[in-house]
Amino acid sequence: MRAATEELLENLNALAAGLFLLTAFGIVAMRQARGCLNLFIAQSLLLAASAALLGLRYDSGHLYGVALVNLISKPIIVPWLLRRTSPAEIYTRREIDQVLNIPAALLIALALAIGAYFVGTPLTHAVGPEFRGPNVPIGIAVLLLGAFTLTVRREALSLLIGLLVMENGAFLAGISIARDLGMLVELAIATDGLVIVFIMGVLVRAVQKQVGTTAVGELASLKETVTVPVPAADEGLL
Amino acid sequence: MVGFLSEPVFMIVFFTVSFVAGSTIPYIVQQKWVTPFANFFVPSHVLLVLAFLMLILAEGGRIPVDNPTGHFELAMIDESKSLEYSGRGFALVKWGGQMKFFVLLCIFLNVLVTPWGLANEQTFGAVLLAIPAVLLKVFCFLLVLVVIESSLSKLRLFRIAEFLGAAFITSVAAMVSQVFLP
Repeated sequence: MRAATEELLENLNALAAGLFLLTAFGIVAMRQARGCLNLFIAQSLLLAASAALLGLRYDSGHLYGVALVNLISKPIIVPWLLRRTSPAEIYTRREIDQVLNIPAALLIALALAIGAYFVGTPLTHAVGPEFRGPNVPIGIAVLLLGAFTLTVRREALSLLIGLLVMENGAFLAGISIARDLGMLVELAIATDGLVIVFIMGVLVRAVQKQVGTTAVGELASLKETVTVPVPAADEGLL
Repeated sequence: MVGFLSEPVFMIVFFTVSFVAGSTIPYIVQQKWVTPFANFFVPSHVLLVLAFLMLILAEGGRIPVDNPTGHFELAMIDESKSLEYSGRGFALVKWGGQMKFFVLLCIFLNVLVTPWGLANEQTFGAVLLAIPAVLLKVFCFLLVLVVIESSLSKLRLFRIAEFLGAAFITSVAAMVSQVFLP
C-alpha cells in the first residue's frame, strides 16, 4: 500500500512536469500577450503542484515551503504587478511579432526539448536512483524553451515572460535535486523574481511612453533626428 | 481536407500508444493504463489523451477546425463536399462521416480515457452490459464536446496547421517522456 501510494505520487509529479513542459510549448506558440500570461500562471501552478507532491513523497517541509512561496508569488503577485505597471493596451492587442513563424518555432522548440532530455537523463542516472524522475530533464527543457522565447519574441512583455519561464524551469529542476534547500534561499529567489518583474514592468511602461510601442524588436537601430551637413562643414574648414 | 494534415499526427499517436503499452491490441493497452492505477497518471498517457482529443476535433469536423452546421460554403471545409449530394447519396455521405467520428470516439474512450466497462469474457451477458456502458461513455464525452464547441470559435484556415502542429508536438512530447524514463 505504501509503495503504491509512493508510485502514485511519483506519477502525479511526472504528470505535473509533463503538463509544465506543455505550457512552455504553449508559451512559444501563443500569439497574444494575455494568453502568454495565462499560460505562465498555469505553469507556476503546476510548478507549485510538483513541489507539493515531491514534498509529500519525500516528507520534506522545505518543499512545502517552496510550493507555498511559488503559489503566492508567481500566479498572484506577478500578474498583479504586471497589470499595475505596464500599460493595459499590451494585453488587448492580438498579434505578437515573431522572428519565426509558429510551426517553425514549435519544431525548433521540440528539438530543444529532445536535446534537453538527452542531456538531462544521463545526469540524473549518474547521481542516484532517488534523483530520477522527469524533473531535471523537463526543467532543462523549459529553461531552453524560455531562452528560445527570449530569442524569437520581439514584444517586451513576452520577453519578460520568457525570462520568468526560464526561472520556472530552473526551479523545477532544482526542487528535485536539492530537497532541503534553505528557506532563506527560496525567499531570496522569489523576491528576486518579483523585483525583476517590477523593474521590467516599469521599463516597459517607460519605453511605451517614450516610443509609443512595446515591440522592442523594432527598436534595434538608432534614429538620428538632427542631420549635420557634413560636406558643408568640411568645405568650411578647408 | 484537413485529413492530409491530421493523418501523420494520427500515425504518431497510434505509434506512441502501442509503444508505451508495448502492444497494439486494445484489450492489453487498456489494461496497461490501470494496472496499477498509478499508471493512469503517467504523463505520456495524459499527453496522448490531449493529442487524441485535438485530433478528434479536427477529423470529426468539429468547431475549432470546421463548422459542421455551417451553411456558408466558403467557411466549410469537410462539410462542403456534401453539398454535391442529395437524397440517398447525401445520407450515405453523412452516415460515413458520423461513422468515422464514432469509431474514433470508441477508440478514444475505450482505450485511452475510460479503460473500464468493455466485455472481458465471451458471454452474452457481458456483451449486453458493454453496449450501454459504451453509450454512456459516448454521451458523457458528447457533453464535454458541447462545452468545447460552444466555448471556442472557428479557427482561420491557416491556423488549422498550427492547431494540428500543437497536437503533433503533444504526441511527440508524450513519446519523448516515455523514451527517457526508467
